[in-house]
Amino acid sequence: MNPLLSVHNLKKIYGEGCDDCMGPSPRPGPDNLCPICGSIIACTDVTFDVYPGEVLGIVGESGSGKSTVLGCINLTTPVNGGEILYSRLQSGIRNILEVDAQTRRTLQNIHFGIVYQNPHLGLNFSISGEGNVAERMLVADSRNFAAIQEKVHNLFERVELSSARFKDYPINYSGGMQQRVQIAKALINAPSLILLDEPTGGLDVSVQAKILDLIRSISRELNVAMIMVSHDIQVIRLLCKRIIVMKHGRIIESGLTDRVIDDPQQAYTQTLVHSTIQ
Amino acid sequence: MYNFALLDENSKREIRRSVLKAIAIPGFQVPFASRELPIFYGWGTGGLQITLSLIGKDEILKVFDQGDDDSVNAVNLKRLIQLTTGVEVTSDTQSATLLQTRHRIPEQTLTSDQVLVLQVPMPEPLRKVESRETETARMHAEKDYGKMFVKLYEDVLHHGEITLSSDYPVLVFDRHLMATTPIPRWDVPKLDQAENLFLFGAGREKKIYAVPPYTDVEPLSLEDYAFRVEDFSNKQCVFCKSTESYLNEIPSPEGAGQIYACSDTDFCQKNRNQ
Amino acid sequence: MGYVGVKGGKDAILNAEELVEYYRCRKGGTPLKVSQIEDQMRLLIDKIISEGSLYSPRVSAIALKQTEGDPMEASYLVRAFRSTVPRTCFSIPVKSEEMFLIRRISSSFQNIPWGQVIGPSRDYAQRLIRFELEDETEFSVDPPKKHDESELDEPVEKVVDYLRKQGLMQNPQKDPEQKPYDITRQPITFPLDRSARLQRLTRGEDGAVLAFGYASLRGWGSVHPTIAEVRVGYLPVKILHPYWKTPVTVGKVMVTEVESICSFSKTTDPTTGEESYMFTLGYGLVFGHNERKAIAMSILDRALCAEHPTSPIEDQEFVLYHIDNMESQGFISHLKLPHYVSFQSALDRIRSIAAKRNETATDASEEKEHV
Repeated sequence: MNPLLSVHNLKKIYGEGCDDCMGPSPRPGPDNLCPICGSIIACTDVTFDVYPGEVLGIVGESGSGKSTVLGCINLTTPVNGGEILYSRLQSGIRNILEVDAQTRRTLQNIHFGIVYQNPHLGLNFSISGEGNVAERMLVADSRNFAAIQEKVHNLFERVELSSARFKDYPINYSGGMQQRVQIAKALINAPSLILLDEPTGGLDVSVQAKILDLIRSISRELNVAMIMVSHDIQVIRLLCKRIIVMKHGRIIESGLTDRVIDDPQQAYTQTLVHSTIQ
Repeated sequence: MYNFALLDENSKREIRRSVLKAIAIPGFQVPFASRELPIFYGWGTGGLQITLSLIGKDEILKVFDQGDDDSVNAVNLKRLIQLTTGVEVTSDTQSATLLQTRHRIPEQTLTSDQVLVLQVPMPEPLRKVESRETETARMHAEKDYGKMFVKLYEDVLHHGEITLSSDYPVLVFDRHLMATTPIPRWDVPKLDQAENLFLFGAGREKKIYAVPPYTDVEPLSLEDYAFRVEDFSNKQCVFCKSTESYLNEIPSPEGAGQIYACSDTDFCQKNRNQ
Repeated sequence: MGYVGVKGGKDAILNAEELVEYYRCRKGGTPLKVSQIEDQMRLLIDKIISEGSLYSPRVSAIALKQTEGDPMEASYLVRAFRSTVPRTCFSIPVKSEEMFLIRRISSSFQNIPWGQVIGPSRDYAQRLIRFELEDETEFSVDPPKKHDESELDEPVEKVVDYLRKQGLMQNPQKDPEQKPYDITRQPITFPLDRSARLQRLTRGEDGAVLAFGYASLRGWGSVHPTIAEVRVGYLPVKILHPYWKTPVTVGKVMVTEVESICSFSKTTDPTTGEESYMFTLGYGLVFGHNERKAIAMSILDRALCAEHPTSPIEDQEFVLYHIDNMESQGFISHLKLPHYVSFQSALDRIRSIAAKRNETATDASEEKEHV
């Protein structure tokens, strides 16, 4: 099977950068700073594939670069190097870092969906929950109010948002409901890849479980690929067959989730596994 | 003391160049270095600068405000143009060659030898959904008008109807979203595939744009919530009895919505003379 | 049927103009002499020169007389007049060290080369109304001994240059190739470069510049400067001789110039790549004698250099779109124009929505009845 998305040597540096950290395989330091120029190496040498329909997990502590990788794929964070090949554009396999602005918006709006931990990043708080989801269809040139509304309502029912709340504004939603609307928004145009950036981060445990359950059933039902970023290896284990472990902007270990958790190779992964699973 | 048509010749030439660019890219707002005129910014200086730059000695000029040739703004502008050019002025829509208007398109269809100059207060149709100029410029460049359709969707969702009244946004040449100055919705269909040239001038906001003859102009709408003009069914002008013109309501002791009169005074007068 | 006006009123407009003339001279009396306005309303004239951006005290004085002393309206007249005058040539840049100073103070150092020159200033005066002015006559005026206005007529080193020599103040980033922007001849598109920003600011309305500058100082922005220098004086206006191509002085203009020392930041020298900490500069220059506007302008100049705006005062579009007297007063005033047509259109919408609501409400109640 051909990969849906192939990330090769992705690099993102915050700061001026130098020949070393801007080049391949920069010198590692004790943290995620370049030991030569002090720039932040948000991610470097990141290479992985995502296959259609699979759920890939990226785990690591905060500052490890996992959210940066998502931002780069979603084309909201400009990169300093590498390529991201995507196979579902009409024009064939393309490096999406080089597409024009219009294709970029098509990718963001139709091919990808994203769910942020912070609902303010994912939702427009000045329009209704329903309007937020409808926007994606309107941007994709749907123009029939009744047809759009029907599709949005069906999806809202699928993500179990109470019908009395469809017209409400996001500010009036609970944290769980905000995430449900974000998930509906990500799904509405039947994307081939969904990016989940700590989607259950700020929620209390019972709500968290329900949202994770929803994500899992959606991924099975719709056969949509997902990249799930979390610092919580429990969450990752629940959803993902394959896992990538990141530290200081680099991938330090990857493989099948069961293998990585049962037999972690890297000291950092061992700590991660042992500190969260007793 | 003053040059013909007030502005110095270099300024006029510069404005004409912007007009040409605007005609070449229908619906696109061309930035220009708007001058201060003896009329306040916001009182038609954009239209006036276009008129002053285009006007020649043989032009026959009509200036009207809200359809009325004798309204304050029209009178002001007309006096200034006449004072500095001495051109012939008329209220007759048919015989005018150059027409400047505030917020109306005449009821009588214009022809290919007429130019209608519209005064524009807010040239940016996206300002309703985005306050930043740098961002609206990007949205136009990428034809990214999703936010505007979301506005329509939210309207229908909360009010059961599109609430945009005047200044109804239109898509020109299937490319640029354009503000309609605020003419009423009644006048919007007159922009589509018209015989005449429309020029739009926004003095304070420093933009010029155009709809050339025979250009597609399509009001923004949803398939099942079509664009509709103002409803004057069962109403008629109190003077000329017309039922086919844009009417202004006249408050009267008999109650609201009882008495109406034509907004286009030239149209009304001709109807009465017949 | 109530009163129905058929047409607007051309006659009424003409009558209104006559009435304005009546009000302008209503008490009879001796008409003000334009020269008196020019001489004795010095600071008001300077404000109009600055906002009208035309250095003509005489035209400004006539405008002020015509508008019954409304400075906003008067500066509008001046700007409009400016639009009718062709541009025949450009002046060439002058160094402000060449200024013939009538006043020059620094708040950063007590002892500056050539000293502090207080000059004509009300800074230290008590704000008490001098009622004796009511009875002033040409005989009772006690003019002070005539001062030589140009007390310092040789170039005076600037305080900021003193800091620059020590490497403590950013050098201006000069690009000799780049011509300054001309906001009266080129369209404004954002982001605006600094020369264009300075032009928008110097033509800005006195009160608006002051209010925005004040907001930054109060914390809606981060600029809290120390004034290196306030200079008031005459700058020569020089042009290139059309034949000899050599600079010729053709006149002089009174200006107020302010250089503000603002917070320091890490800067990298573009040529050597060396890093150092340096103060940043805020610059204000306005036509005429108007110190508060020049100071506020220097704050805004610095605030608008912010690369990542965090407050409205650092936002170019927010400040520069709303600071111009012509644009703001014009658009606010246009609200007095007829809006019959667009309001009729809005009436149509609100009635239609209300009707629709009633329909749905009636349908719902009918359904209930069926049940």
